Amino acid sequence: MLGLPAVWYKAPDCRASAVMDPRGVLEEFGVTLPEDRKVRVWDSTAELRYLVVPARPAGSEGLDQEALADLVTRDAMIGTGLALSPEGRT
Amino acid sequence: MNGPHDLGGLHGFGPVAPEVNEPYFHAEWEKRALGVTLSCGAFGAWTIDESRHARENIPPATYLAASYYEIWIRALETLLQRHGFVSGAELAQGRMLEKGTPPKRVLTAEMVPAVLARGGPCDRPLDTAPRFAAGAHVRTRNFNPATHTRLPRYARGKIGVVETVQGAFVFPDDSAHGKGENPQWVYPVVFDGEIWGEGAAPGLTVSIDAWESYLEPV
Repeated sequence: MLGLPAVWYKAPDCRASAVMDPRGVLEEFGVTLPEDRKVRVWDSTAELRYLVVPARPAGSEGLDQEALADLVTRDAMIGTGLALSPEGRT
Repeated sequence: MNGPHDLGGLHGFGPVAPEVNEPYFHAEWEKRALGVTLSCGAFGAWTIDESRHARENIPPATYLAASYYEIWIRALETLLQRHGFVSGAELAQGRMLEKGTPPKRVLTAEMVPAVLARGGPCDRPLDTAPRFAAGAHVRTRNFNPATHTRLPRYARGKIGVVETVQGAFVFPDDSAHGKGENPQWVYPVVFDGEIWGEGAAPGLTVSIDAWESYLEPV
């Protein structure tokens, strides 16, 4: 996360459970992943920082850069949300 | 150290509680705590690793009951006293009683944007070749030092696979204790089921970034 973190990001509940139960943590942000979606956790224990690239939402084919950027939320950039679907944007 | 900061895999803290508007600060003093901590860091008297170790040295019951910025301030009191900037009596009385260590650098308001933008890069050139290559099987060491380390307890004595070589970085376990930078190669190491064992979330892998001396060949 760039800049000052939200308080939940540094709180014990998130730090304790994110590495062991990432699906459960995502559920608390309202994100339910399909069972067959592989979940990988990167615990950034060094000074390396990771960039989240949101998955392209279904139905976004043919959208230009600006329209795609409009589907990307803050949560989608910190790994606690999916990019919006083009239908859901309206 | 096995301190209260090393929380991965602990139960009982309850659900993550995101706030609707996510305020950065929950009291006016927290803004000041951030500013004072950054300003004192600019003195150049301690490394980021020493400051992290000061935070993890807060007694566990205090640490877990403290807000984020309370942890910062408690650690800052330790650092300021250790390096002679303030005395315990001054902290207790809230005023200067004697001249402390002169800071090497004093942060002024107009310097802040540039200092923050510059950050504190910890990557360093290293002449030696990396010991491990991508795909190597490694076992993390099992140690329990009272000193600083970035190897989480949950990832000690586990077998994983090196994903790549990320470059060489200041070794925090030394840097936190005034022993120099002693850079080492850092590798993301991925563990597959090895970490959480029976009942682990199916398909979950966990990666850590490990300094070379944390790893042994398998």
